[in-house]
Amino acid sequence: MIEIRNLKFSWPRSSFNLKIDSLEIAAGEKLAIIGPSGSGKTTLLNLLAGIETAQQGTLRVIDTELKRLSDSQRRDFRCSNIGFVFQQFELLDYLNVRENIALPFLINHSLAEKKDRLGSREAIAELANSMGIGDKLRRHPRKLSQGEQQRVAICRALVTEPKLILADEPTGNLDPANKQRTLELLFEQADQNKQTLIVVTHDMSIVDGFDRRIDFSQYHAVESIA
Amino acid sequence: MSGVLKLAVRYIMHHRGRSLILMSCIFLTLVLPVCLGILLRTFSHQIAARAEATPVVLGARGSKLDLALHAIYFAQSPETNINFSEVEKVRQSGLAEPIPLHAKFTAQKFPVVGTSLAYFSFRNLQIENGQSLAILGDCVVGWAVAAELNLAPGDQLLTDRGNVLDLAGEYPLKLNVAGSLKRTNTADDNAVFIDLKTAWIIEGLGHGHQELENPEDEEAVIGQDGNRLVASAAVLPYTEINANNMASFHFHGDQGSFPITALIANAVDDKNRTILEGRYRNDKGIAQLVRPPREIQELMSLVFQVKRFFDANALIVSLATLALLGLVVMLSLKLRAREMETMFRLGCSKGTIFWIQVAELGFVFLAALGLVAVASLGVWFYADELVQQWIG
Repeated sequence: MIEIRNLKFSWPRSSFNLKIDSLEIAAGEKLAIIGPSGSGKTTLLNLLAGIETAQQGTLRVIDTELKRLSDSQRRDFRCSNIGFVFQQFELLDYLNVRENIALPFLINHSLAEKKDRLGSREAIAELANSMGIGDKLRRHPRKLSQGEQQRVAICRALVTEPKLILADEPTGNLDPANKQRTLELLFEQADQNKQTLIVVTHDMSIVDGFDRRIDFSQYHAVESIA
Repeated sequence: MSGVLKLAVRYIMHHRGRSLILMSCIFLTLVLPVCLGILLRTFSHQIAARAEATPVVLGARGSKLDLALHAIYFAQSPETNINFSEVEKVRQSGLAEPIPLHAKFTAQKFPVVGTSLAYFSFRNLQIENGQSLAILGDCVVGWAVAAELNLAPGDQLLTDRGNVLDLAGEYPLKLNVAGSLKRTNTADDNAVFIDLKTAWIIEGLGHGHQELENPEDEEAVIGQDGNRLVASAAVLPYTEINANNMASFHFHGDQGSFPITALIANAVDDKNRTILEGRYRNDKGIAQLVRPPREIQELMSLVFQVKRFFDANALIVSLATLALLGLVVMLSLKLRAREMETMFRLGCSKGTIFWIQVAELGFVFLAALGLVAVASLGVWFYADELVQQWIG
């Protein structure tokens, strides 16, 4: 599913370096990446999503060498194959829940084929029902609780049926009950759709349910993770 | 609707207050110069047409422009007047048909214009209701006067008193509305037309009062001077002219010395007009001849010079507004940086994000321009009336 070899990444005019000699993540695996701020967790997610490009090394995601893709190809690849969940939910306040979930279809034409099947009102309603927010489709995000907002964000990440879900501190803004529920929903969806789930978190209390965890706190540069 | 347009519309609708303010700024910046331009163009056309239709005017020496404006718009009467004898002088010259104007008084703030029936044919004024001037005391009201004061033939209209503190001055006269005119969209719509003699009666040059030869009027007579009776202040002048008292109205003195405020000289051709102009140019008398088209052209060139100043002002204001809008947009983009970043992460290209912004601004601009177009159309449609009210 994901294969990283001799990857090196650094920010321009910064001493930060991310170095990963080897890392493989299997399809359907649920992986937690833990570590302090600035250790490169989010950067790894950006590299996996093709938002950033490594200066050196090989990075294959779903059998695709990201380095070989052009900017627009990487964008289309991200749009079709990767679902993002953010700590701050990042919902658009001027769209209602239904429109927020369907946002990927509005902003990328490469999803036109999937749109008919997955972007229909019925499909979105079904997805929202499965996440327990089926009755809130006409509401705007500000009218929802934090937990509900995060579920909307998860729906948005899942609506394109991506093969890989990248979640950056998805429970960081949630109370314990919502934290647990959100993780359960992510796991359920990942299991149900055979999706690979990579979650970046500070929170050690949530990492027990994952298949594997990688701790970035030991190394600023990660070597030979396998 | 494509995603870009849908997102732009949703953003505008959700932030409708902000969008409305932005739209109002653009609307106000554009609508004022555009509508003023339309009104000014209409004003220019109207005043030029009216001036062209009044090629030659005679009046007392003084400001030529004031005289021209008085003759074509019944604006404030000149401080000095010419005598009615000028009418005869022009008539006898055979160069033009003289049409006297006496526009010193008002009725309910509308100018009361004493003239002859020739004025009606000269301006091609047509009676809509009732009939034209027939007897002393009759008036024919313009379309706007009839509409505003709700006047119909048979009604009466009291002239305004010139100076309430001047007890010896002119007294209001109750005019009988004989008819009303069809709409012309000119100053004639806002005027009350009376016979020249009726105007002189308002001025106090002619009057009617109770007969002093009846035995019951003895108290009003204080003596006799030869064949003439000397009346006391108890003799009341009539304040209206009707069938019973019309015969008692009379004028004292030579009518040739009675005032008129202007005289339209309706020359049959340019040659006669030029000869007439030559005569008055050499004449060192009280009267002067002006050509309203020339005066109005000068006025309009001044007006358009002022307009150029306003245009420059509008341009600067527009640029300032544009700069402020640019600042607002930049700050808005800064505030929405995370939203843009989220869209990018979700697979939106930077080009699409740019077009979403363009569409949002475009809709606001289009809405503002649409409103400007509607307002301009409204102003254009009612321009004649608005200008008429403005200069009426």
